[in-house]
Amino acid sequence: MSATSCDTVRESAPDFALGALTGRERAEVVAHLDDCPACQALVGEYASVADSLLELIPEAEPTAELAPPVLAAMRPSPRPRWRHRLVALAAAAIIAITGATGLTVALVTRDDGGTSSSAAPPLRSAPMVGSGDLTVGRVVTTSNRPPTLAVSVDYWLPDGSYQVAASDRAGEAAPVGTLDVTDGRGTWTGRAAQLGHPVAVELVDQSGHVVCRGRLAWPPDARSQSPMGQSGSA
Amino acid sequence: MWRATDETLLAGFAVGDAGAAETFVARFQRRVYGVALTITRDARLAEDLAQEAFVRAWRHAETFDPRRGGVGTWLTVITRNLAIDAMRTQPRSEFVDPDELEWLLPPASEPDPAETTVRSNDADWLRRALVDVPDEQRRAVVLAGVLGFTAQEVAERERIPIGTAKSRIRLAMSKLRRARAETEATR
Repeated sequence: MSATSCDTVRESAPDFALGALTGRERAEVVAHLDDCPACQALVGEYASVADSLLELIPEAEPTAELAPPVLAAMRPSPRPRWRHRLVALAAAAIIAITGATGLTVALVTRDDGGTSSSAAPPLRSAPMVGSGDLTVGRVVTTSNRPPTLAVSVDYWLPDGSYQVAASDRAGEAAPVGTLDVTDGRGTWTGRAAQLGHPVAVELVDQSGHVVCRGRLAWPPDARSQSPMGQSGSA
Repeated sequence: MWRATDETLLAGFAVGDAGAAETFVARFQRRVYGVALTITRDARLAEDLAQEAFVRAWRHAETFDPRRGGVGTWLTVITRNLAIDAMRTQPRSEFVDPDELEWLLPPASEPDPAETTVRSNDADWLRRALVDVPDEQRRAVVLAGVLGFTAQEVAERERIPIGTAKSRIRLAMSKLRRARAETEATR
């Protein structure tokens, strides 16, 4: 427990929520909040009030569309050509060694759990890992009901259509959509109708081979297997 | 795509889905730009900051926590922090005077839905509650909560002792917190 008392923190809670404390004062409050749920709740109430102040600010129309520069910033910077060649050679070697039927054995050797907080975050993500432990993209899912799945790939996969298949912790698996890769990139967003919280998402090529997979870690309380409606978009 | 929930759009945006990104930006750009423009009063800078706010939202989508508010609120907080950082190089005297912010004034009459630029009824309780907050307290809260002033800076700006600045902030926030609790209780 920090040296700062609850009375002191309660007095400073409005200033803290507004960001009006100095760095040292703020650090003292933060240290206290780590161990005091009651003060956390109070600060949370003040923080909601502070956030609401921004809700009053009127909207305004920018003179230019903001989407194009935002989309431009989201594009990955071009990789050196030598890296493309190196990865292609490595992938070819791995495929030659494992053979088509052994390809899936090499899949999913890494799982970073993709979370920013230990307390049931609303979004969970994981890398889409392909042959040779190569990260080829990312999967993100929401914790709402029904959860949305979003898959993107931007590396290594040959152009073409891939089936998106998801499975839940009960072991049920189902195709949920199709992701098209063009010029090495593709995205798919949609929902898994029949499944609970998805724990694995795979891309399957035209031959039925799993080319990459993402494993999503869920906290113990996220065990609902409720039926979900279905929708999707390429 | 327009029917998608904010959270669903954010998920698509997070993985770089171009369609989700375009819809997400279109849905929130007026709101984000409005915050940036209000704080900076510089249209060009505000557009740059609004773009940056969306890029940060894309990069840090996993930090969004719906228990703390909606996607729009999360975005406005990101934008506010960016705008305040951008203004840190400016003298505090360059910041807008809270008395010039007409949106803080109590409405003279019921807002016309066709004209209002405020997004939702979620903040109506706050608008009503601010009517009962004395001007000097409202100024202190806006300087701190919207424009990023510390209590010490509020004191310097208002030419009052820091203890007085803190008192004004705390009295106003306490009233607003009570108003929010009463609103929640009646829902």
